[in-house]
Amino acid sequence: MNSLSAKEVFYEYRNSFQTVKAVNGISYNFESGRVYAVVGVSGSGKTTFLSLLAGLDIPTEGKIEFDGNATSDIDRDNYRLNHVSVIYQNFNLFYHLTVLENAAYPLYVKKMPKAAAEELAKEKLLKVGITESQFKRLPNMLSGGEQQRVAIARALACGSEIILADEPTGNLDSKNSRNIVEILKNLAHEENRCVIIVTHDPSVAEAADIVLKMEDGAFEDSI
Amino acid sequence: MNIFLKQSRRKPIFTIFMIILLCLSLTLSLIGFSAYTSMQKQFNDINGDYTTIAVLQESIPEGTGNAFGENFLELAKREFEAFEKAQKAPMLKKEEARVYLTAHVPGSVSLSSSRIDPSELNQPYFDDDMYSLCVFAVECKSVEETVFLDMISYDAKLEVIEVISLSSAYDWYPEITEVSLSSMDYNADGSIPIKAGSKYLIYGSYGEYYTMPIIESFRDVESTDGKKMYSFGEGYMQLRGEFGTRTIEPAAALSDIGLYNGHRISGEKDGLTYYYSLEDQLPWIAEYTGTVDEFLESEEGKVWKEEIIPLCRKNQEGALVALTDNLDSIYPFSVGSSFILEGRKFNEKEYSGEKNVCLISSDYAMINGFEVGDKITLDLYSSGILWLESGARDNSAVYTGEQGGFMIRVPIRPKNSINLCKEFEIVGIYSTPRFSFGPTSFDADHIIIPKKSVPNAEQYLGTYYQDFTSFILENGTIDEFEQYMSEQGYPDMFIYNDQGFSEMEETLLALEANAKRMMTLGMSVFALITALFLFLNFRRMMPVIRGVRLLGKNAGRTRNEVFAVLFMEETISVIIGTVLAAVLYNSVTSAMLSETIALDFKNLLSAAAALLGILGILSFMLSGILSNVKLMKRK
Amino acid sequence: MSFSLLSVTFKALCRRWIASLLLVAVAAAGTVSAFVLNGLISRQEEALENTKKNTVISCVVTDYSGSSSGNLSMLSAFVEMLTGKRRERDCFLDDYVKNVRAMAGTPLLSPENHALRRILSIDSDPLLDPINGVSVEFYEGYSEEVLQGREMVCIVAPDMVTENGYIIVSPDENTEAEIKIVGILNGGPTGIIYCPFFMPFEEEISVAFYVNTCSFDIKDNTKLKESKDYIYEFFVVPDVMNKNDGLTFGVLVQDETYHKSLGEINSNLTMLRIMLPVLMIICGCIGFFAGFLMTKGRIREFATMRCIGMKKMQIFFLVIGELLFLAAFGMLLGGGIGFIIEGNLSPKAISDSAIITAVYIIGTAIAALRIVRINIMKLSNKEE
Repeated sequence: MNSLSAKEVFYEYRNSFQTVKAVNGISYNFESGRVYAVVGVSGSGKTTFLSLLAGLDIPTEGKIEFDGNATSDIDRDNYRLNHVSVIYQNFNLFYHLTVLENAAYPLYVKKMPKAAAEELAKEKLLKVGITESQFKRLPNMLSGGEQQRVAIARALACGSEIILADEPTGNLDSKNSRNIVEILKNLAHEENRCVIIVTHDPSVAEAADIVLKMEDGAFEDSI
Repeated sequence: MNIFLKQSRRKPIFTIFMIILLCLSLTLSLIGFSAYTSMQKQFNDINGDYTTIAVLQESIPEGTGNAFGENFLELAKREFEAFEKAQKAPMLKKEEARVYLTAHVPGSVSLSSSRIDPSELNQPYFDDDMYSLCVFAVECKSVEETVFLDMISYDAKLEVIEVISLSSAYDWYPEITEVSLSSMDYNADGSIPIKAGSKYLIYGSYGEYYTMPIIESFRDVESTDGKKMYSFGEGYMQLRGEFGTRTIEPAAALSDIGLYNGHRISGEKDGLTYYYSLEDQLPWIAEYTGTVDEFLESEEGKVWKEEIIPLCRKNQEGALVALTDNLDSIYPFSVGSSFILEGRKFNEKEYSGEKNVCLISSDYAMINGFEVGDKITLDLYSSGILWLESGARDNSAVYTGEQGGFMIRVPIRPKNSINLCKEFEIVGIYSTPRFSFGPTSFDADHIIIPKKSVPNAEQYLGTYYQDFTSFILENGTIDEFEQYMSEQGYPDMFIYNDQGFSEMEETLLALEANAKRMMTLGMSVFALITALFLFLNFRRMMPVIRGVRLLGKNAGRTRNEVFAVLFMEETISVIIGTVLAAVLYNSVTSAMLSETIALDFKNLLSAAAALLGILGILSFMLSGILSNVKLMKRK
Repeated sequence: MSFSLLSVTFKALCRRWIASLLLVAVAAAGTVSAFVLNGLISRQEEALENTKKNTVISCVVTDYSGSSSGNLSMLSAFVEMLTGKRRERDCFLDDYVKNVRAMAGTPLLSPENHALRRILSIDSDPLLDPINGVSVEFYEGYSEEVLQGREMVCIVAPDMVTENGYIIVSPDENTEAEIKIVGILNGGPTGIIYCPFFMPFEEEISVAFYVNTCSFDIKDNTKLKESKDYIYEFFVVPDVMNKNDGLTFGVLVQDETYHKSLGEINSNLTMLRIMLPVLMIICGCIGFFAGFLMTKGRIREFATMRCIGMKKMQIFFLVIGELLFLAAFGMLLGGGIGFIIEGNLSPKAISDSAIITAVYIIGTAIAALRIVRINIMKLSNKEE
């Protein structure tokens, strides 16, 4: 089982005029098979923390450890490609690729043969409730919920142990939200993945195994 | 607040780069445009330096032998028809007919043949009466009447007392002491108007005839008082004639050139015919006693002093004036046998009649001491011209064959004045083969002036209109014109000359093609970059347009805001692009020192304004269309 | 990079057809520009060379002052010199001049009222200009070339043709020659017998005579200056100030229009030569900015790729590959259009278009590098 932990993590955004402390000394150990919800007001540093977990950057101080290795020491591109998948509120799909191509894209990057990649992508798409007739559509022909499912399918196809979701239901109605949350829960519970969701939505937070409340760049306590 | 303006300012690099991109394409287009206009200007300039002419070829054989034969009439008719067809040819640029007038140039000496070279023509038949009108004071030594068929005439030997008026062309060695008079002009009652032992003033046409040609050696020298003299026996070899006779022909006999308007009628005496002039005509002979001056001051001498002698002087100081709209359309100038030796041809302004200018021949200039920049007075007459079909030779002393027709001016008569007397500046001196012959002949005694110098000059076009017409064709259309004439049934009727345009044509076509390519390239790049500019801008703006529309801003306002930003960027681009193009093009072309290639700011600015207009319209239209974006997301 | 990735990238390229097409068009425009701009110069140069070669620059021999080009009374030795017949005396101009036209008139004692005219060619005598309705018809076996030789032959008006085909002429009391008629002069002057310019009255005896008119053309216009210099070693520039010694003759070279036109075209060529690099640079810059801006608009896409775990260089090469493909396609397309427009493939045009395309790719590369290097922490959630 892979482990993901934050140790005394600090992160600052700097520009010419000011320095903003976005993450302010977080230490936490995430376990697989669980759904974590990170909640907090806007500007509390949730997304920044999530991005650090995703290995988009390294903490200004402290470290994020995956399998005991700090993200600052490992190949973060490889880490993102093979171990972490991020799902965004605005889906971040490639709008010139079809649903199937979007889902299979990380596999192409991994140099998996096209047929195999597409086979796996199809399986994941079907799993999240995308029908075969939608495979050849371009993302903007789908609803928000469907687009988010494609994003999840892309994350699943990667086979990442850690699924990070940044407001995955932010753009969705309650029914779609419930479906997405259900999918993410299943991933944690049935496939033993570690799912970390950053959200405002109380219903999403309720569905999580562990809720982490963030304020001024630090966890208050777990709920 | 214009949100789109904010968007532009928030991403300054993108905005600046967009402006740079558009500005560069505008620079390219405007340089292309400037190059196009200057190439076009060059093309027109070079093209304008060449005049392609079609001149009706002489199809009537030389000589008068068959002048009224069937063949002559048929050929003349055919020439006339071909001429009429040519007037309607589509490739005809202009029909240019030379107009001929006569001028009295006060104080000048006219260009009779012997003026230039004593060995050349010096006989009335060529020089004719306009040069040789004279008044002599003579004493009659003998008179002899002869009968030929049914006509009577008389010959008189005259001793010259004083040459009262004679062209200085005849003022050379040996001195004129004797002249002979051979005439049919009697008094009205049939008596001979001259008798031995009496003194007369005679108004007539003077002539010198030579006998056998001999080879003499001589050189021309100038005496201390600047008078031209000829010294024989040394110098270089020259063909010349030996003196024969000197004659005077009564002016009354010159009716055929209009001097006496045909008022010379025949009378009969003893079954024999004689001629006399009506009383209203100028006298040609007057007996006097005492001195010449006394006679001229008398009542009887008044007409001689006030009319006859001034008339002689006007003719002796006369010149033929050719009026043209295009010097290069005159065949000898077109083919280069006549050419500008000094000074220049007329320019556009001068052709349009803005300035009174003229061209004179080198011979005329030399004799009169005229130089480029001098001014001469021309008192103009529409006396007309005469076409003498044959009889002219290129050298009086040496017979080298009949030369064919040539043109002479008819003597000046006061009643033919067109009441136009003004100063003309000499801008050029031309050289032409002296005493040339044939229908396209162009002699050295022509003063050329722009047609527009004389109001309604066309009214003086005479009988020889066809001979003096050159059809100016569009350059490079000789073959087309000939084909057109062939199709009309008149092939091989015209002679062409394009002054070497055909050799230059390839270069000119390349120049024109280049100009077009430059322009097309510039415009294509402009079109492409405009498309790119608008695409990139709208790609960036579309989410915001959608956003503000969702917020309830109406399409019109959105369009205006979008357009304002785009137009601002475009205006900045056009301003910078124009300045850049002007600076680059000007710095390149100013080194060339070519007027035609120089930057035309006015043109450049108009082009820039046009491009800005196009950009503005396109932006406005697209802003309008895209501001009406469907707010429902596409599925 | 896997084939599947490339294939899917290509598909995306096709789906973004407007942007792709614009990029192809920009690359094509660069290539077409290079072709067209290069074509401008070469076309102009080629045409100019032909014009130089084909233009006839006439020179007219005048008297010392330039006032007359007829009745020159110039010794025939000058024409011998112009036609290269005095080569052995190191006195010749035929290396520099061609088409010498000369006419010399000689009065004849017999036939009475006739004159002999020596001509080098039909156009040597303006009286024979077709404008006057004259046509010359040579008998079989003879052509105009005979006029340049020394054969005792002549061309006469139809009424002078004799039964035996010969005509007896005598220029003076001591000379009489029998000349063969080899051509007919239709519609021309009467009383003139035209014979070859250098025809002697007795074989093997050279004659000297006075020439009435003479003109010629420059042989090689590219050597115009040299030719003029050489001509003026024997003749003078016509001027009234020249000495009139009976041996001084002027030559007026009628090259004014030629010079003016050539000057104009040369200035045009110089302009094009200087302008070409300027325009090339502008084309390159346009390509640079176009590539840069087109790529810059895809920040979000690249950021997502980075989020998925693609390496910076992987994305960079993917973008460059994509653009290389479009640029290559554009270059080919532009080359095709350029070839159609210009009709040739000059190596200079190809290299110039390659440079323009390269500049364009550099612009794109810089944009792509900037994007892939940017901190994706800031990008991942940003709207474009």
